[in-house]
Amino acid sequence: MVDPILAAEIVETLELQLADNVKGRMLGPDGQVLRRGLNPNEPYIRSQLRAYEYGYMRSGAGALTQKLAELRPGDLGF
Amino acid sequence: MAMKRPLPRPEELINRELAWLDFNERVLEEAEDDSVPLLERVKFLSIVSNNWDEFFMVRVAGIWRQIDAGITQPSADGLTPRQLMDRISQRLHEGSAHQHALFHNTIEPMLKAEGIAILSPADLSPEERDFVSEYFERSLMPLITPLAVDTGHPFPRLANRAMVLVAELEAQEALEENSMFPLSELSIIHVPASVATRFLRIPSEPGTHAFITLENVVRMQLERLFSGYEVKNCNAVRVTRDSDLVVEEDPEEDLMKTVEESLRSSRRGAAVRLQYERGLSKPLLDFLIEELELSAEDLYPTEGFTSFSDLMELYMQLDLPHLKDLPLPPLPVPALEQCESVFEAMSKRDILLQHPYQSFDDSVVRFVREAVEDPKVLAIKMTLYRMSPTSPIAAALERAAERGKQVAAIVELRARFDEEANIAWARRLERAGCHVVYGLPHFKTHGKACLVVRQEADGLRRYCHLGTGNYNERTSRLYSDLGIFTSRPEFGEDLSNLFNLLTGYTRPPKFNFLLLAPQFFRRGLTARIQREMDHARAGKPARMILKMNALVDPNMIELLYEASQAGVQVDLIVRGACCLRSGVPGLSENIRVLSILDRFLEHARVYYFANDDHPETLLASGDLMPRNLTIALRWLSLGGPHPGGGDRRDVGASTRG
Repeated sequence: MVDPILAAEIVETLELQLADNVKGRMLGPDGQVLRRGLNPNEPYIRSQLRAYEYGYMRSGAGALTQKLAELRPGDLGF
Repeated sequence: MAMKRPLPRPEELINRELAWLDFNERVLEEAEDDSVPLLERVKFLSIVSNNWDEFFMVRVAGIWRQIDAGITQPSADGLTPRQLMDRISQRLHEGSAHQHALFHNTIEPMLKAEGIAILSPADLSPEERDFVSEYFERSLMPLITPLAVDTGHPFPRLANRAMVLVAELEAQEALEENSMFPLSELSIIHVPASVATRFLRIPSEPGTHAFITLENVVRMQLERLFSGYEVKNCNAVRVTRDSDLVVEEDPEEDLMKTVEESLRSSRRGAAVRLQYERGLSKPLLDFLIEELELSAEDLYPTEGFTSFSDLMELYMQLDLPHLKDLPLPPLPVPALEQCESVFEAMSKRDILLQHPYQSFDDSVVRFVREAVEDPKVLAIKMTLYRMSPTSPIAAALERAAERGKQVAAIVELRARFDEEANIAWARRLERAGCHVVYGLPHFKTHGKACLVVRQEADGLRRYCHLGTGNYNERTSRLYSDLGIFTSRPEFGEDLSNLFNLLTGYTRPPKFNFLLLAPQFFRRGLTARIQREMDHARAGKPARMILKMNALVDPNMIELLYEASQAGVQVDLIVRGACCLRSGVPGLSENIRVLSILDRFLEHARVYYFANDDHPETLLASGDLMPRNLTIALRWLSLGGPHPGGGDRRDVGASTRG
């Protein structure tokens, strides 16, 4: 990427994925890949839905009627 | 100074095949996850099976070939082919049993509770039986070819992944006494699942959804098929065959003919797995083992449901939004919406595309279509790796050639499992007048790039699209990928040089922003990782984020271990097989590996280097796998400065291969 703003946007997406605590799993030293475990006191971050939400906001369509990022696992099919 | 080790020690690597099986177990976990909507869980069960099928057809088959060739040399992770096969076999048997239990004990009852039932013949009412009989007579009977097995009829070839019924027969007395034709004790029936749905929908009460499997539809009509016989037993079996396409390229031969011949040969591949219903009699099972030349470890008994991969058909047939993921319709790309044409938007600025969140059809397909219709466009050049049979992009290229534009299509004929679709499109494009080439001999062309040349008032201008995903409208809705539209002259020059290399074997003097594999991919990444290590050793913050589908290459893994030991913070996002061990004290404590498995398949490859506050972000089509770093023609489009990081020209100079 040459455009610095677009490059930063990509890095932002990567950071979001690294923070995914709903669908992200970590590889441990023993080779096991385990879910991170959700902490109810921390915000739930599901990177794909957040990415969609960002895209939605950027599209100029206004705010989503219900913020996807605030949904919990099991709500509205996720 | 510490002695540099050439490769990681065996205990520092995770075996590639076992790492891939780990990945597929994560897919199976999604099918187990209560927070995932029910029909999405069904879909994940199907994906698991499909993945296993491909694993058998390519990886297991490959290990068997090594064992048969007498190879006993351990691989980099210390396992011999035989040891590896033992571990794989154990994992696959456990996984298969787990999958069956999950479906029958959990998913199927939950489907039933939602009014979705997969009925057995015994469950059907007389009216439903009549419905099934009529369907069989009308839609299946003309396609059924029972094959007798006896001394005059050798055992027929069981097609790869076909659903097959094996019927044990006994002629009734009257038939035995009166028939002038030979009698059969065994019959093989291929269930025509490729032309009919595996799950036949049966009329049912409103709010309920009843299905019967195609093999049961056929099973219910056996008396009709084998009049005069008693059907003693009838069980479904499914064979998986070695389907790894080995293309022996001969410079004298047309590559298309060579690939077609290889495809024909691959259909005759050796059997590597037999799935069968548990009711199959022991003598018949022994007979199949002998005919298919299998061993005990290749046998996978099933509990009443032999092919889970077909569950995708059930998913597709059920339009029940409350049991599926929340729909996320593709979004418009604002920069394109504000302009009359894609060219106008691209001439103003670079545009980042994030699929499937942003619409592929309204961006990439629109770009190609506008190029076709625009009288100012003189030429379109494009790489095509995986095309759908109804590809709107390939159809647009066809139209462009018919309209007299110069069209060059680099069609990769060796794209695994898509060879036939690509051959068909290559022929169509050739007929339409496109310049179709199949890339460089001995290299796969995997990069995704499109170049449009347009006549404008001040001369020719080049418009480029580069992406991490295939030009495939179907997968673009399911895979998470990145793309960029740009009209920067440096990219235009790079793509012109790239296409000239692919079509005419010209040697470009330089690339401004592209790093082509095999020559520059490994070298370029290595230099950047080492640069990050230098920053760390100089006491500066050093960080990389590398995102890919698979991390397998031992040399790159060793380099990442070295980077960790030098103090570089290494964040890896690896969806599939990862052979690196993370977080091991003294080895990789600064490396963390994350795998994301969600509704969209993570497919983008991105390589980010902090570079002492002069970051570089590279988009790529390739993973860190030995074959990609040595024999695949992939590209990286290079990252430039972030705000305050210097001008573009400097970056081009500093990043040249």
